[in-house]
This record gives sequence, structure tokens and C-alpha cells, in this order.
Amino acid sequence: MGATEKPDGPRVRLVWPDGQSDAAQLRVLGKSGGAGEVFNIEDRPELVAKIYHEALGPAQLAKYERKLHWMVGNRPALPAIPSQYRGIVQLAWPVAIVMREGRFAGFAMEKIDFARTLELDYLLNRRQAAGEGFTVDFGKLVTVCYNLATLIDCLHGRRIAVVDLKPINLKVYKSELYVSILDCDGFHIDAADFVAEAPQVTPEYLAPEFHGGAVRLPQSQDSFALATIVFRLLNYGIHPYAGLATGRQPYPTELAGRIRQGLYPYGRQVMQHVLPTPASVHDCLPDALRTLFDRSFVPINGSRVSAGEWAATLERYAGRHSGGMAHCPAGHLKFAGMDCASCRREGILQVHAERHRKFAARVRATPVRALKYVRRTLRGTHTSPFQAALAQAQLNPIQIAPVTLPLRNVLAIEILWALGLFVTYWWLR
Amino acid sequence: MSLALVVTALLAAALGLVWYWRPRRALEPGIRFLLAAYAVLGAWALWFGLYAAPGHEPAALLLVKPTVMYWVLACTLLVAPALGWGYPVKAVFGAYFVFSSTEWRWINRGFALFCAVLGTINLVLATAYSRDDWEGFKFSCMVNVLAVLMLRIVFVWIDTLVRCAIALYSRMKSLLP
Repeated sequence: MGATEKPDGPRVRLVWPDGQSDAAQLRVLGKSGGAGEVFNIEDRPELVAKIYHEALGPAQLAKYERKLHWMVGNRPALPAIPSQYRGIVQLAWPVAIVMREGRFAGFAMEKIDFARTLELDYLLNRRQAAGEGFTVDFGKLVTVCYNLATLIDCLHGRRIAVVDLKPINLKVYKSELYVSILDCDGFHIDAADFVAEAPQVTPEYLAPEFHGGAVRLPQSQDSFALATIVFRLLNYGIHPYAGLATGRQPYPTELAGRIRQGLYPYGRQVMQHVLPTPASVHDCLPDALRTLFDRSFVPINGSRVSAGEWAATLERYAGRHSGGMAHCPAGHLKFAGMDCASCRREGILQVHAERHRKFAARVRATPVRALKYVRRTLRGTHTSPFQAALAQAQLNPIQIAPVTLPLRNVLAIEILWALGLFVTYWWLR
Repeated sequence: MSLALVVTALLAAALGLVWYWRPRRALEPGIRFLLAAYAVLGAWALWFGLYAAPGHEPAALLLVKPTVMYWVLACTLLVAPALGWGYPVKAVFGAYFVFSSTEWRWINRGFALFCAVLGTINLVLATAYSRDDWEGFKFSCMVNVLAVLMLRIVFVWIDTLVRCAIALYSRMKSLLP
């Protein structure tokens, strides 16, 4: 075996939607998740196979088998991609059932080219994205948001919901800005001929009404998670429920608790006891988007903004020639008619950096300053009138004469004094 | 080497250092008197604390030791000004405090009275009350020692330490290229 050749995986059969089947040799890819392991398929570079762990019980495997049989035969129509963009996979949707030794083992899906993509999570931190060779600007971010919303809208049109929608389950094509959704076998399906639950959730992206209970409205859950992701993308990764408590009211330390209590401080209605994070640039977002955020996080009559509505609104800003975006004098892309979020953020960071620098300098100087202060206080030689007054006020009842004796003389006296104290202690104990 | 010898060696080194670094100016006679009293008390403490076998210290002295200490202090503080030897209380609290002579006199008198009263109370408790009462009083008196120590630390030692730190820093700075 060559040094770069992957070891053999199991030998399987791929069963296609039309009932035809082919033998295939799997190759170890080295990617394993909670439910299964992903393999390359020999001679089929465009596909990968997910084989479920044998530790899953037969009942769970049977559920997956039913679900995947339906999914293989019911691929949803996805947003059209211009013909010049090749090889873009928007959904890791199952394309074939994988059988091993005549039994259901997993499924095959289109392979997402990891070299062309990066996790959406990386876009929440510009430095991280830059490390992956992706320069973030608001134009790209809005386009990513639009593509994600469109994709979710398509799924909802087929009564399919992601439910566990979160950045690490999403991949973004670095050049084309299309979004891929992973882990499709965990989707909620509510078709006319088939229903499958999606038990997996992530508390930081779970709508308040589903905390502590089942996700009864999967599409509403998707809308909440979509709004959260869009908010984070457009607000430098800040979670919509991350804030600063001002009052004495208890403020949950974890995001899930804040979501449960509806503590969303970025709305246009100011929240009394929770303030937005100081680094937030939410007020540089256009009213149209802020209205959608408010309606997503503080739903009126329980109705949340749908993915379709998000897509329709984001489309106004997504295209290069949409007119929704403009350049600021510093050259950043910003929302037309609004303050530049990039400039605002840079200003905030600059102030923060300046404060940090001053603080660090102060910390470094503290021991020396403290020594000086104590010395001046003891000697009454403060040059600052305020400090002199302060020192005088503090030590007014007892004043100390400046010590004129050389240090060694003072030390001699104090050593003697300490010995005297020991003698006193011995006699009194 | 026994503990007694180590302690004695350290004590001798400390006293040698004190002698070497002593201010080259005359001490007030009152303070010299106090030092002499402490030398006697210290020698006693050193002998019976480290060298003498346990139980050799007169048993009758055990209960009146604090009284001896307090009364020696009180006598020194009262006798010295009467003989025109200055105010030994300056050595107890620190001569750096800015007080007028009258204020020192009253501080000296006050401290002498305080010591005399404490010594008397100790004697009364040691003879007329239970051992527990006496021990309770004895340990509560440690707070007084602690208070004097705190006063010294806050008003004298901190400044001395600052001066030491600055001197060391200057010395190190001059040694660096």
C-alpha cells in the first residue's frame, strides 16, 4: 500500500433510486460523527458514503432506513445555480442507499469539496475567515445570508425542515458564496406520504418556545435559527441573546437561558435590564432587516419571519447591482443610507485597543506608582494638589516626619524594635 | 547544631548588624534605659526559653510574667521623664511621629498607666481568679501587641520597605549594562 493510499473500508452495494445497484469499495476518509462514519467511494469521486455506527440499535437503524428510502426518492428542487458555477452541492442529500452484506448500512451523498468551502462558523470571526483565505465584507455576508435563506425556503416548500440549523452544519463556497447544508439525514420531514422527526437540537439556536419540549413547529424553529445565524453574520459573530445585564435582576449566564427568557437586547424597543454588547453594530443595519430580526426574536402572535420573507428582503442587498449596498469613504461596503458598520466596528475596536493599552500601561506602572504614592504619602511630598489633599485627609490625625536617617540606620533601629517585640511576646505569652 | 545555638547565632548576627548600622548619634537616656531593661528581659527569655531545661524557670513566675513585663515597661516610662531622660514611648511607637513635647509626655504617661493597669489586672486575675480567666486575659492582651505592631508596620515599616526596594532597584539598575 502506498504512503498516501487510504486503507480499505467495507465493500458495499449502492442501491440507486431506480432500483439498480452497483458494488462499491469504500475507502477510509477519517471523518466520523456521532451517528456514523463517512467514507470515500472508489471510482466515484463525486460521492461519499455515510455508514452508521453498529452501536446504533436496530430500531434506530430501521428509522434511518425508512427515512433515507424516502429521501433518496424525493430529492427537493433547490435554488438554481448559474451554469458557470460547477460542482456546487447545496445539500448533502442522499442519492443512494448503502447496503452491506444484504442489510441497510447507510447512504451515499454528493461530496462537498472541502477545499472550495469553509465552515460558516469561520465567517463569524473575520480573522479566522482570513486565515482560511476568505476576505469578509458585508456584501459577501449578505449574499451568504440570502443564499442560505433561499435554500431553507426551498426545503420548507417541500415541508422539510433542518431543525438543527447551526453554523457548524453549514459550509460556504469561498468563491461562489453558495451554502451547503450537511447532515441531511437529521432533517424533519412532514410530507404527505412520509413523516420523520428530527430529535437533534442545539440550545443556542433553539427558539424559546421549544426549550424544555419537543419542536412542534420545525419550520418556525428553522426561521429562528436562520434569523440567529443572519444576525451573527451581520453583527460580527455577536449572538442576538448576548448582552450585558444592568439591573439587579438575575441574568442567565448561558445563552440558552437568555433565549428561554426572551432577553433579546438588540431590538428597536429598548430592553430595560439588558444592554447590547458594546461591540455590536446592529444599529448600522437597515430598518428592513432590523424589523425582521425583531419579528423573529420577539414574534407577534407567535408568527415568526419565514425563510421566504428573509430571502425576499435580503435579495435587495445581495446582488452587486441591487443598489442596497454602497461604499463608505473608507472603501468599506455598507448598507446604503446607513452608517458604515465596518468603520463603526473599527472605531469600537480602536477605542477598546486604546483602553487596553492604557490599562496595560497602568498595570505595568502600578507597582512603581504605588511605591511612589506610599512614599510621598508618608513623607507628605505629593506634588498633585488633589493627592496631597487626599493624603493629608487620610493621615491628618497622625503625621510622620520625613525620615532623614540613612536607610541602614533605620534598618538597625527596626531590627532592634522587632527583637524587642519578640521579647515582649515571650513575656506575655 | 541545636536550635538554641542557631537562634543565638541568628540573634548575635542581628545584634551585630544593628551595632554596625547603628545611628552614630547619642541616644536619649530614656531609650537607653528601656534598651537595658529589654536586654535583661531578653536575656532571661533566651535563657529560659532555649537553654534551661523545662521546669527550671521559677514556677511562681509563670503567672506573673505579664505583670513583670507590664510593670517594667510602666516603671521605665515613668522613671525616665522624671529623671529628665526623655520619653521612652518614642521608641515603642516610633520617633518619626510628629508630636509636640507635651503630646509625647502625655502619650508616655498614658502608655505607662495603661501598662501599669494591665500588669495589675494580670496580677489580680492570676491570684484571685481561675486559670481559664487568667489565660483569657493574657491572650486578649496580645491584641495590644498586635496593635502596636500594626502601627509600626503602617507608619514605619512600609516606608522602610519602599526605601529598601528603591535602593535595591537603583543598585540593580546601576549594575546592568
